[in-house]
Amino acid sequence: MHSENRIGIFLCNCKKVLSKKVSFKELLAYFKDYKDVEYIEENNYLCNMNTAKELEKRIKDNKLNRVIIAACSPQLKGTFFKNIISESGINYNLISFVNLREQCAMLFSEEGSATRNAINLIESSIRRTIKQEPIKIKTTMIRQSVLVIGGGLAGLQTALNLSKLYYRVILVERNNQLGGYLKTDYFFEGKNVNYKELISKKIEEIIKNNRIIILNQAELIELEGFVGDFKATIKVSNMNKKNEIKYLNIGAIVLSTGCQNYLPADKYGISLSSKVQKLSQLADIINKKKESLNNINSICFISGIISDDQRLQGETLLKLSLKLAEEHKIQVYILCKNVFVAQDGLEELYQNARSKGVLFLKYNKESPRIDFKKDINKIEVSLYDPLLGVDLSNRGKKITISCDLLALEELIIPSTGTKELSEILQITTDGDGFYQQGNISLQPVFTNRKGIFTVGSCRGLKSVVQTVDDSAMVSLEIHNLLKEKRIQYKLDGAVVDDDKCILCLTCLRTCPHKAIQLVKNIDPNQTRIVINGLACERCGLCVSHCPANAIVLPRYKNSQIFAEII
Amino acid sequence: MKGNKKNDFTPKITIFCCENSAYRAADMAGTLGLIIPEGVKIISLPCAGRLEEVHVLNALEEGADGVMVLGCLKDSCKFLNGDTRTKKKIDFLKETLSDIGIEKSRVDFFNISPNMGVKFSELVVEMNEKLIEMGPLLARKKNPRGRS
Amino acid sequence: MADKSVLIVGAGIAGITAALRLARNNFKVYLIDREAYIGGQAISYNCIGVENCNKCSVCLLQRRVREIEEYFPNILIKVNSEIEEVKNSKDKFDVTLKKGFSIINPDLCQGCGLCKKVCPSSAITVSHPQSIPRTYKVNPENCLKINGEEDCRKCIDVCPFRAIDFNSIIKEETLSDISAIILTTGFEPWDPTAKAEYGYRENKNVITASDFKHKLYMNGHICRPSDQKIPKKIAIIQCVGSRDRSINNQNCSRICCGYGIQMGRLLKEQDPEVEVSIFYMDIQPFGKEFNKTFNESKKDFNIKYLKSIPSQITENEEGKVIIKYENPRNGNIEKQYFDLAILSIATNPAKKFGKLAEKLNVWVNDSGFCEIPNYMQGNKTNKTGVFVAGTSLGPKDINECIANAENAALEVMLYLNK
Repeated sequence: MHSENRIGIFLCNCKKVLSKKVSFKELLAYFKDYKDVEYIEENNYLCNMNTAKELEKRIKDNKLNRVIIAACSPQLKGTFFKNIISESGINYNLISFVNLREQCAMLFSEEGSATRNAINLIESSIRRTIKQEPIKIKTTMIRQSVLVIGGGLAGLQTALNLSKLYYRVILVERNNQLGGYLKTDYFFEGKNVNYKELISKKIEEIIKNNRIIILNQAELIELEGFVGDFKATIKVSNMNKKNEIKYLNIGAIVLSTGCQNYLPADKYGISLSSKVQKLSQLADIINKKKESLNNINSICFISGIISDDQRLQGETLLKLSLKLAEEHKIQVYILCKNVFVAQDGLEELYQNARSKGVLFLKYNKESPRIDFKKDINKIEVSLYDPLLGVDLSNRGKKITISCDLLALEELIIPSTGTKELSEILQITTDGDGFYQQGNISLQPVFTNRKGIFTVGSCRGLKSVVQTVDDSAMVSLEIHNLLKEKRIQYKLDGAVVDDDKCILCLTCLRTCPHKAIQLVKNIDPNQTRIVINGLACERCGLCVSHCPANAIVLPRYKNSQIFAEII
Repeated sequence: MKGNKKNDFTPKITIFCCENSAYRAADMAGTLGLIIPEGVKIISLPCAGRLEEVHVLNALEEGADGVMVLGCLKDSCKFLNGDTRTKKKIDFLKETLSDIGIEKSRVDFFNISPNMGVKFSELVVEMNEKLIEMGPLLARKKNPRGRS
Repeated sequence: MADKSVLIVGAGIAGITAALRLARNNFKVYLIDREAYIGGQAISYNCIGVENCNKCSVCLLQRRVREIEEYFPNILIKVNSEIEEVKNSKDKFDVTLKKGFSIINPDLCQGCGLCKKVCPSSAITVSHPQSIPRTYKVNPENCLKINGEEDCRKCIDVCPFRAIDFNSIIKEETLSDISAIILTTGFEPWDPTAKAEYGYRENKNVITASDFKHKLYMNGHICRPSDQKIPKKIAIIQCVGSRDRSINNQNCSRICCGYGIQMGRLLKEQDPEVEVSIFYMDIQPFGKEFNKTFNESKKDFNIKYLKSIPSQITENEEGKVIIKYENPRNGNIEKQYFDLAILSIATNPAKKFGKLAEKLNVWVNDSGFCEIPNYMQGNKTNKTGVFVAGTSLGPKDINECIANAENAALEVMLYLNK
């Protein structure tokens, strides 16, 4: 099989700027009769639309089958040239680029060295281009439905957005009602916001929407497949405590499992009682059982001991303390390291609370000490404050306050079952247990797997505004993935050669996107590794780790890289 | 293996660049007008993770005096852990090279981000100076492609 | 939907994100910006990592700028353009733009850099090496022609694209039948000259965080402005211009604690011998695994945290920065000497936003940011067809701006598809 290489080299001197450093005369002379080069020409302004259109004529006239564009950086005009040249029939993988501007003319000081470098770059590119092969395009069907796991604000908002973009949504909620965290009493009304109203409106909208199927008391127990064609197994517990199993075929998955309060028992060193409550319990009382506060004259909140991160607790702390001070005339002390004001309206709330008599006492390295004075039925809390405290011998300046009730700030942690779900879906988690490591490429809604997204507080502490914004981003990204029922993708993903593969499963474990699966067969000779063409991100990690050299990435084969070296 | 130190020796350096970070940093170095020594060849890869040890060895055989591999900063790789995996490979490769008598510092891995044009040129200039000290690499294949 | 066009005012991270999203969904987008390049504030920020990524998110902006570069036919970029007038009829807008360029025309400049090489007084620099259009600009302070030597024509003669013209021309252009407008004019870092106690501009070695990021971008490391030496003892002062009654800005600027701690970490990673102290009021959490990041900065990186905001910053003859503050441990007034002081400044709304809002009849709140009538639709202004996204709404970090711009794009898509 003898195929003749007819390479066309199109040089651009960027309106004679590059020819001041690189001798184009030398380039033209050197490559004019070079092996495999059929045609070479110099242009002044190749990225000009008119000039670019003439490329088609040159290609046809000289019957070129491969093209090298030697101009500015391919990251600037790469797609532009690929689009134009593909129209003249040359496969996009037979078009190569040489960076004569940023990485040659601009980077080398002397004229001689720049020209030598240019010759070297073009020679390497010719060797590589000869080894490049055309890459075909494949069409496949993708499912037009989306699975949303978790029925809190994040899940509801995402489901509503997706339905407005005409997708079918299946919303799976573990409890028997929707609403999640916003339905608890932890969130208070604000100046322009009413969270209870917000969540009720969303639930109303969802129930009326006939593109959204709601499955209550349902959980995901298994997942197979890849983006565009996931197979999810859902367990639904109905009223008779009998479990029903549903199998769903879906295109994309959204995780919105949210977070919960948690008080680690030993962190404060005291046990809960009627006089020692969690912040969430106090919030509950003030909304539902106000009478129990009748005999309370002073309350002390303790914040900042177990965590420096008060992004969800800070708002509740301020609003609760203001309510207690204003409506119940209770003296409130807040002991904290830092006050959380990094949200709209919180600075105003902080100043308002102080003007209504709430006392903020800040401590630093030493945590406050808590003493129960049973005789006077009060709790004494002392902290080290160098400015206000009284020096008691040489133990340092302390303030001691006396109160009727102690409220302890809780940690916000991911919902129960987050770890198990991450294992079923093969998604990574971070050090705190929330989904997804902090890798910047995956912010704010992506995960390591294509087609699986996370939204809301299951990814880290997020406010209501951030959750709503993230839901919009997820819906638009899913719209981007699923909008064509039949999508075309390039067959340039990693491919396994079954003859060389020894089934060591190294690639399966290496792939960060979990795009590789082992397809078993009763006949062991038919068991093979398959790399999903849609989920593969073309990174090449599997290629470089395969001990048998059995995997190939079509655009970066070893033969091509060796050809380009030196 | 050390060669004679030549004063007019221009080291050949092959730089494997991750196209998401290092390639852009090289572009930026050019735009800022920073000059790097002659003898540098930049090869782009989809991720530093695509790099195999044979690529480095092949570069050395074909005439490179030194090889640099540039990947993304830790925890910012688009494919999550391409840089850490490649760094491990290069660390192991350096030991192997040292066992057969090739200086460890001829091959190195660096983390870089796409807007570190200045750092790119600094790294290349540093490597160039180290290689001038060490002299050209004499271990080559027969008829290496690089003019030596 | 190619007949429906959207105008996006301001090409920062939010504007670019919204433009890409709308263009992907087949809307025609006009992306305008008053500067000569796109990318807004963050395009001139450097990555705050040395070996580890410190999650400053600046590269996310650069990736998106690259996507626009890759030939998006639906996005028409117009730089050096500001809105002059808006006419509103039925549900369409006719927008008149004022286009002015200073000396080097960005529509013609191809970024070759020849002008920079020939300029005898080094007055020409690249606007931003990674933004587009990749253009050069003339700095009026150093330019010989502007400062008296009328005969110098070196740059004009060498430019192969005839892009240099010292007679700035202001042109007008009208975009008709715009179906929706998104305001993403962004923020401006506060100029701390108003805080006279800190002596910004008088004291050479007191710089703002924007100056720091820009210097880092161009040089790779930081030097003292007075003598170009490497600073060995650095102070970072938080809350400059925020939570401050004396200059009438009481709100927290949200993102300064984040970048203050990241700057400290960068300085320590570049040189572990350097001493870094952060003067703060209340540390605001940011990012993922905040407890771990914060503890690491205290224990592993040895950054000193002082819960005290300085009352005065001065400089002595040797150029040492003297910071006067109240020691939080014992209440005594003390002075400490530093080589460099970095002010973490507030994010304020763009100064011309008020005028633009007036032209469009859009509400502005007391702080100068855009006001949203309905919190359940966070990107719709009071005027039908006009939306807002990004830091025009209030201080946000880069990730939040991206998500917010996506929400605005979704609201525009739903509005235009009715």
